[in-house]
Amino acid sequence: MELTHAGPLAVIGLIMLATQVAQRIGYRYLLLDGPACWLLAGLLLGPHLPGLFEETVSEAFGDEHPAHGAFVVGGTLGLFAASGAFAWLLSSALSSYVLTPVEPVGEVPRQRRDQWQGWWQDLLLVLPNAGVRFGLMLLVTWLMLPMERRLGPVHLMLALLLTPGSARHVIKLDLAYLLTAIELRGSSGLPEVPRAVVGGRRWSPGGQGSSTARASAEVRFVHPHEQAHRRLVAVRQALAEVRTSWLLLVAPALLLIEHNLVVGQTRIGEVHRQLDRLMPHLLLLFVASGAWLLTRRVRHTSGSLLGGSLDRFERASADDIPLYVAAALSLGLVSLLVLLEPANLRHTWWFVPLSIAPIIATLAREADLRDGVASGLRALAGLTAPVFFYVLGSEVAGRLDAVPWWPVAIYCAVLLVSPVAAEPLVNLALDGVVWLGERIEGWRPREGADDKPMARRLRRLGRFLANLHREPGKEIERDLGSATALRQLLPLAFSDISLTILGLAFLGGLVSVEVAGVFVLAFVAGDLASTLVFGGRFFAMAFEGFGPHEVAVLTTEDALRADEAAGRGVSEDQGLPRRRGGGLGR
Amino acid sequence: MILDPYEFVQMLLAVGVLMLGSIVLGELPRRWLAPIWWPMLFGFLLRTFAWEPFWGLPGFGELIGTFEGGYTPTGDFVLFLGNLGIYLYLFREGLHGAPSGGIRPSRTRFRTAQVWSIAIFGLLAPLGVGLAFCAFMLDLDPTSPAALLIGVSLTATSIAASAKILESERQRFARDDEGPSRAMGRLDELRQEILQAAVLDDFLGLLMLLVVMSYASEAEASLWEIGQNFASRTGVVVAMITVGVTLVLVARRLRPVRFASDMVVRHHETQRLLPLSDWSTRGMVALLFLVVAGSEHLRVSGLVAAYLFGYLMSWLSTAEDRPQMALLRAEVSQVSGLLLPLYFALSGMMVSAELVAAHFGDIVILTALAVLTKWLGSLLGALFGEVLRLGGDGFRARLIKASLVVGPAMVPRGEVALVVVNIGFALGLFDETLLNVLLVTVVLTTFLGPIGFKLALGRWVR
Repeated sequence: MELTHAGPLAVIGLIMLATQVAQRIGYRYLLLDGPACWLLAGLLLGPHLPGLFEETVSEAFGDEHPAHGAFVVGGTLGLFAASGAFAWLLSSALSSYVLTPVEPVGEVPRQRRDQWQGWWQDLLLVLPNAGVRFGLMLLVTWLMLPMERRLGPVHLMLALLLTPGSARHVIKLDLAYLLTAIELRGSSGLPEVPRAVVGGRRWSPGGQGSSTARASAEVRFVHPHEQAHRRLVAVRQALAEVRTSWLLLVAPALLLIEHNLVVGQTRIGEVHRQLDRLMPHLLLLFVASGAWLLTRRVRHTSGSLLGGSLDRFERASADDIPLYVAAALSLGLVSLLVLLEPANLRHTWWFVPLSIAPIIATLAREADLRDGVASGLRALAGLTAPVFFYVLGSEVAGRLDAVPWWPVAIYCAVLLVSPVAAEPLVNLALDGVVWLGERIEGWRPREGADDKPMARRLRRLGRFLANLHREPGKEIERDLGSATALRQLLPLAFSDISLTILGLAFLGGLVSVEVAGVFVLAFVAGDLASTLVFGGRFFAMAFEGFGPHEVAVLTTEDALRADEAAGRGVSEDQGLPRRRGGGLGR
Repeated sequence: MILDPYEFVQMLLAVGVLMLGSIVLGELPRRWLAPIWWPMLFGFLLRTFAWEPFWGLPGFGELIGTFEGGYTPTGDFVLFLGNLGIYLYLFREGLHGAPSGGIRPSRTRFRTAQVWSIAIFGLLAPLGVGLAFCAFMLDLDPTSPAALLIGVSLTATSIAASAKILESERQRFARDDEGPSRAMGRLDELRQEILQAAVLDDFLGLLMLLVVMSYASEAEASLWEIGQNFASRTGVVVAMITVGVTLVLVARRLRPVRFASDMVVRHHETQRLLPLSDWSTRGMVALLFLVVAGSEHLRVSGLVAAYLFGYLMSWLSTAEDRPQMALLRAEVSQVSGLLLPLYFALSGMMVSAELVAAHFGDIVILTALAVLTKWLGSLLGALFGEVLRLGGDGFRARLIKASLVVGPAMVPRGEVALVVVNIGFALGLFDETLLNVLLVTVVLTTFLGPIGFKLALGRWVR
């Protein structure tokens, strides 16, 4: 077994170093997200290092293969970059499935009914927004991009790719926010606020209550900014849910369009034949997602239906995590092997990681293991994905003169305008659903007629629909004051998953440099623009309603008791400050 | 177009099958067998029986083509991934080696000397017997590079196998509520001793590899040239270490340099709170790749460089760096744990059933010698401790411990031995026959050692 791969290692090491420095600088000074920084590194450095990937390094390291006469660097780098894209897609998709639910300190854990309600609310908010953005993007793409005049699959694919927002972007803003909060705390010397952590346990301040209760009490100091941070985490979770929906709804459509591009058939009559070939892809995704949903549901109810067969996975230790990642990965890969002809995967393999993600999420049921697997894949993606984005940036930079600039500006403008344009539609959808729910709820059987079970069920559905917008059962809406806030966050920036898919299509020769170049530049510009425009609002929202002296909201019975006790004062010997101000924050 | 998507799909399928086969085969007994065993067996079976369903798969033809001297991007990339796994693995092992890594040297003079004596005798005994085996059984000149490399391959000790058994026994004792008992204390002491000796063995073995490699490439040259070559290679390593140490020390004091180093490797405090990929790990791994590439360019083994780089990083880390180092170790473990089975499976694919059958006698003898020499090494270590009158346990107790548990614990050869054998083959020092004999010996020691160790351990602890 040949052991030296010095040339590729040197090139990959250099690229990793360049992306690392670019990310640190890009984040520190421009608040740019990881992929944008890596792309920028490729755009800026790529053209100035001609031949680095092929002859220069290969010759320097003697990597010319003796039998073949080929330089191995170019081929290895390409495959490494593609592996990076694979790991990135898998890691991103998995984070949509495995993000641990957030239970804000001191609040009642969300009930299943609330979770469903939250999901429907998200959908109601997202669909009109996504619809408007998709329409605008399709229009712009059709009118501007230098492609054929007839509306075709490339237009559709681009519009679909440009539609979703970026959850990573919110995470980035969250990080920036947290850093600001920490700096503020350091500089202003704001007091910390006592807080009871209640998970069914009693808090008995000031030495009151039984000694047992006191022993079991857990008191934490939580700064108001930390509470604000929790709000943002809740937003992030909502976005992850949205992304899951996106994966399930948009990705198959994208797959179909891309396949259409590959085979060059656009007539409707041919669609069913393509569907036949793509069916295993879709089947795998939906079976895996179904299994994931089932295990989620099982966990909520009895927890025992699939328990026996999955016990082994639950007992896993940290050492076993690579094993499980490998198991899940290879299981997915090999199942595809059985289902599909590899030739069919030539341009659509990006769908594979999206399909494997729910399989992994299903296998790793235990929260610790789930997080472990997710962090393992993140580590893999963190090492390899920057190389992909760098290569993409440098390939575009090599032919930058062919890329038109003005569509980039218009795309960014659409990005910023679409939430405003979607506002009336979102309100209409919400009002419509509530109106419908009220009508159904208000429906009663005629006098003298039996109230059948079906009618009662219908009324319950009506109540559910009517309460979707009205009832403050969802913490995000409650936390952020209004649904508008969430809506405005959703379309932030362009999606990194979309960029990865498009980048692969470009590197694989499916999409021209003009199209890829516009998207790459729009991605970077959009990241910057949305940071500037939405970032301000985001920060303001995070701090909204939080003075330094407010005590955070406690909603359980125990917490209210604790609050009463706090009203009577807290003994100084425990080091807790007396309660200030007139009452609770809300 | 930089990427051929079809090549990538082929690669994915080949990697998927190799991983899945290794895992399925190794799922049941994995708790007490070294990770090397099952992937190698799978690789061996895959190639030996040339299973039609696999051979027909896209990607496998390319992989086999690469094994047979041809070049295909797909096959070459699978090998590249396997190599990445072993580089990262050795880097991580290096990170474990220094004091601030998980295994701390004991403070007592006795135990340190005991560990060193076990390690040194555990190195010298297999080396000497290996050279004798070459002279008498293989008709090889014992001073030839090939013989030396065979000796070196017998010296390494697999940390993973012994550590796994010790950990599972520890958990069993803890479950049985024997936690604070004397048995737990003895087990912890033994664990520390064995793991330190194994780490030292690997360290010394890799240093010897460096020496033999400089010797090997100039086999026809005069003694003076060989000396020069060795000095230059050692000089490269020493220079790398010196430059590295200086850079780190300077980085800690000078603000601009500190800023630059922060950009590359410093871990950010708030990063752990958020699901972003880790920046510091990438910076460190990038440096690792550059060090490996540089040392290969200078004809120093990249594998040794990876290990030394990890060792150096760990040695230079301070208490302040501890969280970052822990994160680095965890992330590198996760990635190397994914890729390492590929390396083993690919090594297994190099084993030929016909050659193994033809030289089965040699394999049995070499395996027996490999087992006995490690046993002998730990016994000699115990005796040496007695000669120096270092104190600690009584002589009889130490002798029993050495013969009963420390010896078997040091028997598995594992990953480092496999690396040495592969390097010997890559350098052209071993022909295919010798390669097969050594590979199977390594695998057998890895299989037999843990069985003996597990049987002896429970009895000894009680």
